[in-house]
Amino acid sequence: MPQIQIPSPLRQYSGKQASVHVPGKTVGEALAGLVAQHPDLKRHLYTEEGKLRTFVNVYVNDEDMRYLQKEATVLKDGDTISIVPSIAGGCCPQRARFWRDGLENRRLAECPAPRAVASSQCSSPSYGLKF
Amino acid sequence: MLKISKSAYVSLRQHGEETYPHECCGVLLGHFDGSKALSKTVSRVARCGNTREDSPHNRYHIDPRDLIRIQREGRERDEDIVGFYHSHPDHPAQWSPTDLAEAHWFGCSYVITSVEKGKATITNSFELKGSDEDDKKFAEEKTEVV
Repeated sequence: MPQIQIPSPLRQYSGKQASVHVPGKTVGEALAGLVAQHPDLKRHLYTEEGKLRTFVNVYVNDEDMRYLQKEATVLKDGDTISIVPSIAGGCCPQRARFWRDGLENRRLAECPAPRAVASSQCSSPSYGLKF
Repeated sequence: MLKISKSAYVSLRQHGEETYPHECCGVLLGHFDGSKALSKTVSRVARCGNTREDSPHNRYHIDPRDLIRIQREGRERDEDIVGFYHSHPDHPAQWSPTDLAEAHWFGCSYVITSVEKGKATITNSFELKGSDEDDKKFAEEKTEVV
């Protein structure tokens, strides 16, 4: 029976279990078995249309299922399925290159008005005041 | 509350200095404290590569395979993934709309270090709160170096 590794933010929906054994010959069957056992997981893994959320990565051992047969990927004894929400981010696109470019090369036109930046683009209230 | 060992704190800040002017990224390993997990303790960090080679100065992404490996190693050491860290080169240590849009590990800490002209300055931590993608938000959390 395949084992599914549950990431820490989702364990509150899997009875606090870090891994769950579910029956299934394919990845799709195993995931369906998982949400059948733990229905609260469904909205975190799937959209309302029933598609796997784009930020949810599903690996069979060390292979991304997207590069295998996706949900139709056949499972073998001992296979481990890992659910891995993506980790990404980054600073404001209007990041100041001012330090590297030199203060004399500031292109203020590239930076939104301080008030706009503070309210909509960057959570730091002091960001606008710096420039 | 995020408690972080001094070695882990120094390591994540140094990482940002080493990758400057690009963003660094990595994983925070430790434990959720208590039954209600009101605080977390970071015992060590696991450095990762930034796969966003197209825009490393203002974007980061951790390869899921790294997470699987780190998670497996953590289990062997009885450690959990309690959060992640990255740096903002020449930008405040505050979460951006991109940081929030790409955050999906509820209850985990997202630690951000500002690296100005190659030197780490402020490090802040934010916990991802909410119950799903529709109501998620970052809440600044107190950090204590232990």
